[in-house]
Amino acid sequence: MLLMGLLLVLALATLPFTSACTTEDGEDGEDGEGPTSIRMGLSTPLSGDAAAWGIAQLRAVEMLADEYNAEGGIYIEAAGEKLLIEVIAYDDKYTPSETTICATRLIEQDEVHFIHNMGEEMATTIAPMAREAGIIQWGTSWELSDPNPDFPLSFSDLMRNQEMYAALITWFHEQHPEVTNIGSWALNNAGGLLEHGIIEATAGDLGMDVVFWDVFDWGTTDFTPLILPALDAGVEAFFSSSAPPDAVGNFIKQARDLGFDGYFCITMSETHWIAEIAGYENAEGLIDIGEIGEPIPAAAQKYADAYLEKYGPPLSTMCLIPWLQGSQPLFQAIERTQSLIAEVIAEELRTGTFITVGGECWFGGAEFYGIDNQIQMPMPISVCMDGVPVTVDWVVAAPYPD
Amino acid sequence: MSGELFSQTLLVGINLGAFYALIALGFTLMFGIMGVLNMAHGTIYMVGAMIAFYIYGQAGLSFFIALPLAMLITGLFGVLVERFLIRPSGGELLQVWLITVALWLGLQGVAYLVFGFIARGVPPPVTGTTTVLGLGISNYRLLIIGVAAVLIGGVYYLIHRTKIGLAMRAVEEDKIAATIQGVNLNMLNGFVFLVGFALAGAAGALMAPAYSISPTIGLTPLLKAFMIVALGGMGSVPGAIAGGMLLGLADSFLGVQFGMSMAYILTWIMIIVILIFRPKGLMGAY
Repeated sequence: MLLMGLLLVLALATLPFTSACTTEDGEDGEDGEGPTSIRMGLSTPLSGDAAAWGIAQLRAVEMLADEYNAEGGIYIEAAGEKLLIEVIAYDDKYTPSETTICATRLIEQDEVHFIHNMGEEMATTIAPMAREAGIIQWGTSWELSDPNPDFPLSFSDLMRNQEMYAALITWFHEQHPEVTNIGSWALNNAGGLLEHGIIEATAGDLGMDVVFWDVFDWGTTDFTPLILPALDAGVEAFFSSSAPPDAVGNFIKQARDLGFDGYFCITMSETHWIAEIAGYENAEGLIDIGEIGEPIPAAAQKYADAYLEKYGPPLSTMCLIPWLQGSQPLFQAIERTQSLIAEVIAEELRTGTFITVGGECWFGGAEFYGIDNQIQMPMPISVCMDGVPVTVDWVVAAPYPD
Repeated sequence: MSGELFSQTLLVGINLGAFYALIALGFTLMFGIMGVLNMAHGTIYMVGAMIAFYIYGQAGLSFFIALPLAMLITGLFGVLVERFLIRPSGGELLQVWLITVALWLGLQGVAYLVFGFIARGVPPPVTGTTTVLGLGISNYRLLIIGVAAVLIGGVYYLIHRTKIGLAMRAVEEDKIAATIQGVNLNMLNGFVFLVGFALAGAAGALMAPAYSISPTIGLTPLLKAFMIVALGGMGSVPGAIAGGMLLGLADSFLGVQFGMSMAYILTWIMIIVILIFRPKGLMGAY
């Protein structure tokens, strides 16, 4: 009796937040011929260390869906009418095993027309599934092998290390030519290791030395064993890519605690969360490429207002740029082609240009990836001032490294 | 390794060790006296951190009010857990273990609902640095060491200088004989849970300004607690203190010397080697 009660408690406790697939929104797929709605699926982290990214991605897609649905949806020729957009999201906890379950459910049960994802191992997991299902994969990944000619329906919706990092280091060097010793710290995964290679190559060309680098695992909160030898080596600026906001916040706090007074440079994070964790004074001057700051561009202001109305403060700047910026081409491609056929939309994506909240973007990268499935878009550079990101410049991707 | 790096690493290691010892102390108390492997220990640490977040970070009260309040709230929660969840189970190992797992997951679920998914932070209650051994160490790290030392010292005094501590040691040695001698087991168990949970809550509140706060922060302290009690000896209070300090110094020096990922592996190898030569841990009785 007691054991049954305990098992019931355990089941109830685990169901809402730790079950493999937690429905955030959406309905079951409908029966019948022809599309009756445009189903956007997301397998994305909605809990855990990567939740800041996943929630931002989901909200970006939801806001775009709301925008089009307010006008009755998107006209699809096969349906002969406008179709509303459904957003169906499951929490994959940023793990491949959960991603498999979520993606299977999205593809086979919900019959989504598009599947969004987050993270390299997760993108690699979904790519063959999307190819087999004949649907477009719209993913964020730092994996060197993505995009890939073997997966022509898999697109990358964010600028990645290859596109951004060289641009960031070059910009930083122009602003701070006196800094010569830099340090790199990254997640212990393919993206993190790739980041180090790009930093070394770019920094060397600019006359800077990478005097320290190390990797850390997901869930790390104490970075002092990494910071101490870096300070001993004389690091003047720390560079990191793909670290979650709480890791960045902990790192900055602990580095300042140990006496570091140099620069921090990151990619695509959430400055106000970092500043809260690190302390406003400690985060002052934090440089972030890919995060839009104040003032919000006019094109993004309506989305900022819509975000605050729907989700409340604080505004997630990551939601606007890069995720909303990265999702707009997909919606525009559907609108232009008036089709849900993946190959038709893919061709439009590869050949067209798209107007986004951050300016004009297109898809390229064939010279590096072998296929033009990598988004190319101008990237903002923001600096943290009193806990708020302030946009100070816009840059474009540097030429691809050898 | 330069002299300055060595000294800084030593200071950080002592700081970590004090935190680890605090985390492990409550865990080993509950196992040593009651035979309870508290899988919710890390979650109570998380609760302590969140209490500090709301009282100190959000309501703006002093951190030195938030810390004892966190201990009081988590400690009283421990009394309720022992009375209404653990005691009815009759103390069967598997059932108790399952109860604490359910508590762990349930509390984490509630934390997601109340606190949310995104990590938050609170500022340190003291700022600035003090020179120790010719090196600057942040005043907050010194505070952590000081508070942890006071709490650990308090527990040591409780166990070795008070009647209730004598009762705890008696039960740990021979439960039946202690009962015959008049020890009220139910009251004692409730007290052990109060102290164990309060220590975990204290660790969480104390470390809240040092690390980010989120519903998932309890797993690492739980893992560290297991490592330390295995290293120091299951149920041994001095072992928990020694094991905590040893692990803190190992994490610091091995991390600095070999990198964080390799340090994690080397730490486990160290524990295995120690257990091969001392299967009961450094000071274990089991």
